[in-house]
Amino acid sequence: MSGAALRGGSAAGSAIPAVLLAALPGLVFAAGYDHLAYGVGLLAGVVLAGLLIAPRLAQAASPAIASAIGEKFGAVAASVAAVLVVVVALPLLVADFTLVGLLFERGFAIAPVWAVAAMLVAALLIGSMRDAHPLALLSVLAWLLLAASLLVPLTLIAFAVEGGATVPVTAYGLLLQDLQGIEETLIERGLVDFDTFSAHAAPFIRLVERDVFALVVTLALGVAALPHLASTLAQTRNPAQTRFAGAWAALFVMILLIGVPALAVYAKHAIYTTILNATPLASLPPWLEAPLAAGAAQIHGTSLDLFEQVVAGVRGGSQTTAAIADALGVGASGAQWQALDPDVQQVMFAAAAQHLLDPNAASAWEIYRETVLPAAAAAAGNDAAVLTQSGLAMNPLGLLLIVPGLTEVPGPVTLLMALAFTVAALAVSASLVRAVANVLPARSDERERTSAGIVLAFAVSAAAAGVAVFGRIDLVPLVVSALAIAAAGLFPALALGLAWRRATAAGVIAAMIAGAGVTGYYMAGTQLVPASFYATWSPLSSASEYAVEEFDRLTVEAREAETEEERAEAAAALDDLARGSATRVGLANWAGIDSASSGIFGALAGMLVLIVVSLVTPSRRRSAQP
Amino acid sequence: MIEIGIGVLLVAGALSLVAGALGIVAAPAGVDLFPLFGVVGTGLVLTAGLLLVAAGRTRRAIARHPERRHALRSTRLTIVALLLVAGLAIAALPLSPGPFNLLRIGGFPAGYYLAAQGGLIGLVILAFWWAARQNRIDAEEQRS
Repeated sequence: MSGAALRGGSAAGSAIPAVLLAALPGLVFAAGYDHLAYGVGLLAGVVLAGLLIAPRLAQAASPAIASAIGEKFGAVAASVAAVLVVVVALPLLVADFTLVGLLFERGFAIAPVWAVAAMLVAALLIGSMRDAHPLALLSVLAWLLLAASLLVPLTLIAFAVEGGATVPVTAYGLLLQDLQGIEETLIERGLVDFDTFSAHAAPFIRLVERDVFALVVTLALGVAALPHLASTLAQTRNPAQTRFAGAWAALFVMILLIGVPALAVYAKHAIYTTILNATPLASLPPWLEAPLAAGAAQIHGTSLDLFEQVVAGVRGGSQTTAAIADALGVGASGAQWQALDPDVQQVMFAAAAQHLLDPNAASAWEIYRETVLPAAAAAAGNDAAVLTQSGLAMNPLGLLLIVPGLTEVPGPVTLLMALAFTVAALAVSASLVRAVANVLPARSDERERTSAGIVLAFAVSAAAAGVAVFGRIDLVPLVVSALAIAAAGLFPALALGLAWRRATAAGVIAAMIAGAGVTGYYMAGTQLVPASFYATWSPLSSASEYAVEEFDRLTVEAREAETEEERAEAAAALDDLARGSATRVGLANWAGIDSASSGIFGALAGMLVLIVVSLVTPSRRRSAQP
Repeated sequence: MIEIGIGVLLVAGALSLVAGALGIVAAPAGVDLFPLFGVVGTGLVLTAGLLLVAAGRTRRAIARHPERRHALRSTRLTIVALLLVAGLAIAALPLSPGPFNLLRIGGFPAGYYLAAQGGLIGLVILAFWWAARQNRIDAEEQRS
């Protein structure tokens, strides 16, 4: 039994991509009830991986996904599965490498390229070892650290808020009730902007009901088919032990996930109380410094991070606000700077110059709080210069940065969190490297397989590291789309293909291609060419009458535009309208399902294709097994 | 046999509700019962009926083909467990909040509690039950 528990713990430490776990409190903060779907979906996925898929892999000659499929359906099916494993692993590696790069850049002022390079080497070393024990131990350590980094601050905050020792995951119920009261007061006083505000416990504000359903299904099937999770559990080679390892993994993942909504509520309570008290921006509480300094939160479009970049620009010789714009470039900071009011740019520039003249007079945080923020508030029409709900924008990864500040000991808690998420990212990446190294079909010569696999793993993870250093990608959508592809491409083959005796090679191959194809097409179509996607599928769209009218008007505008420039502008507006945004559903959709939840279409298509093609192709009874 | 009979009756009942709502057949005594059950209620009746029929047929199949007993019992357990996962993870989340949120558990609106904690705890209990049950089936079938 203890062996199963240990294996479960090691699977739990690397089951959930570190980025997603780090973003979860922020996601629940942003959308309240609707984003609880993430926790439920992830845990359901771990249960399915452990009880539905891993026992089948444990019976195969090798617990790796591609070899198990190859053993039953032949080399072509194994190759398709191998391609899918790489397609799923690559974005997950990118996300975890980027997270570590960000952590070291913000936390220890180390350039991301060094942190990512170190991570790449460590992940390759641990992931390509023949012996799986070091990786298992690393994952157990990752789980212990993650549990500590979520539950220790939670207990400390609960202790401070409740005025005594409590069990925070149950005690925050009364705080939630209090939070609901605060939200009602904010609404009554007209202090909220309904484009971004949603009452915490109210269902289906940000996502429609069927989208929540689709998100849960996508995440659950995606996690179940993660290339490393089921294989880790199946390493016991014994289905009975594998099942209990899966159940233990579910328990350990639940312990991590159960603290997340509590953290979100404690942080939200602190933020909304600050807003309710009309706290002047000039005296913002210190716990908002960390997310603002990391650029993971903005107030009226500014952040401490942006201010510090302006200071660096002035130090580098920029003489005007336009020169600052050139120095910041075209990245996220550049766009943030361009979006600011010219008056605010001027104030920031002058404050930066002043700060450089006398660096010891005040800290950057004090200057930002007392000079920059009031100017930004005035430009945004916030004349009282107080913290408002609409003025504060929080990235999903930013909320976790507030948490250490809410405890009495911010320093150690920050260190603990940084350590936990670094180790977790390493455990996930090393597990993925191992999964990629194992995708090449086994030949008679064991050694040859390993070295070719390691070359492939090296190529994939080096590519991921390159993207992590030089690309600027939104991490949460990246991870969710990888899970959607896993759900669509791999889940039908693993869950139904390996279990159903009548499944044929043609059926499984067709299912993998069709599933991944449908979901890939939906994600690419709705994100890259949303206007033409909508034009093709308009009968299936959930677009409102008003949005359709607007779309038709813009289409006419684009057609009748006289210059190339006007035409391009109208086409861009069409795409923006069809794509939608974080707060508004676009027109380009099937039945209102967001592209994040599109794994459900692919998984359905994959299941159907698997059944139909298997039934019309000859059965492979002679090699059938009970 | 008895569960197949009850199941067929339930399926027929659900279908007649739908037929009545669509106006294909006149409802008895001119009363349309569909609004009373609603879409969810009708769906539940239909699912219960289909499950009873499936359970009955599996039992008969096991009795007739003793050599396939292991596979049939395992498949039945898998389907029941998957339905429970779906019930906990999917139905509890999107379907419950409306009426449930009127209740409070320790300060939590009950629907919110189910999604934040109750559903997760349920899934873990289900995982252990599923593992133990399947292992017991394997052990019993290997012995016999």
